[in-house]
Amino acid sequence: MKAFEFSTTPLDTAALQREMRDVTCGGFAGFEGWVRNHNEGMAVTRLEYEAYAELAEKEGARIVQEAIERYGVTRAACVHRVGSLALTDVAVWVGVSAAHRDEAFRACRYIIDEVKHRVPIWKKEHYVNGDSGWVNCERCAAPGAHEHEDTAPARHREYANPYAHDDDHLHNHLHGPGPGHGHEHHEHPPLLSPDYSRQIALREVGLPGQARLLAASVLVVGAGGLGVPVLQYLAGAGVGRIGIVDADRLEPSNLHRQTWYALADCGREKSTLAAERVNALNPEVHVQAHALRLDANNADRLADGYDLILDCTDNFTTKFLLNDLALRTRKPLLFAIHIC
Amino acid sequence: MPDQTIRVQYYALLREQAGRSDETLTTSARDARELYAELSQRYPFTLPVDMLRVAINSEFGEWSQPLKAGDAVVFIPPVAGG
Repeated sequence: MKAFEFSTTPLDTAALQREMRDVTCGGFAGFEGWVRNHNEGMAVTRLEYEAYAELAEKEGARIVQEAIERYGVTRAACVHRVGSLALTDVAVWVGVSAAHRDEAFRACRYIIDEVKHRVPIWKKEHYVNGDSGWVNCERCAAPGAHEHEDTAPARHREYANPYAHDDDHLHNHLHGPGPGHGHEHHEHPPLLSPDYSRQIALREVGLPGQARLLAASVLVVGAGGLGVPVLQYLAGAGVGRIGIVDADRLEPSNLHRQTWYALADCGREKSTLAAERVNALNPEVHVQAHALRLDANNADRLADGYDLILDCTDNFTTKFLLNDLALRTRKPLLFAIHIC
Repeated sequence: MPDQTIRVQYYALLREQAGRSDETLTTSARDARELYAELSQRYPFTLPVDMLRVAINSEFGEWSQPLKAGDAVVFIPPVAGG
């Protein structure tokens, strides 16, 4: 079977599970997403799923492959329904088999979480009152929805950003799977997940705030005296995507204030070093390093796709360029400067 | 920039609001962002561009990526699989 595919007919989950059998595997973990009769306080009668199949199949296959590589499982697959579904129908099936159960559980969770927010599939709910709506699309269309988030009923909050991980995923972070402590022999070291519980506990953050951080993307220009502390806290806080632009290589004279780096790292590109540090602190951050100087020719390309630009540079040429870029692209820019 | 021919496919809410699944059109839009702005004049789209992602030739693309004649563009509304 393919790693990821669509089905227009009901899923035979027993048959799918049989395909995961393997003599090297001691366990199977499966997940089924079902059509339920309520969502966001509305009574649901049926669902329709629509997909941009050409891209969805590619992205879905990438997710399954990522899970296999990341967790070292033996087999993994995902099948998603399209078309009209009735209550209790299976909308999505994920199956993973592995030598040991811990990897199987984690890979299964990874696949469903990533599928839900990366694969171009849309769900239209039909309600008891005859109404219908595309999930995640209708409410966020209203202009100004963001400003009223704090006072909106809780069920509206997760629409602040449609690419946010859902609450289930956040609860996973909140409670965290913790260190592996099974009796089985682990060929891979136990995988830890970031735990944002202390941050989510803050009234100003909460689960909706954490979801927004996970969905946010920030471009940090400069990975030196300012960039280092900025990147540490962005990564720690769980910002979903971080870009780092810095053309310099680490020098011994940097280290007294750029204390994230090590003496042995001198001579290496700071952007790469900083990206490694970010992922060491928080492996869930998607980080991209750009070992180049931001200039008028590359500025737009570098900033494309980011929500926020942080100017952590030490020179006015780049600061003026970033100011122009922010005005032109209407992206927010925060800057600071240190004077030596 | 001379006009060029682009294929656009619509899904989900955008399909309903455009009243069609796909079309081939001639446009002076230089990139997908300009193309969405142009189409928003023609159709009653309610989703702001920053809620969408864009795919060009069946792969996720960048809004500022220059469009070429014959490109196939898909605007991706907020997804909701699972």
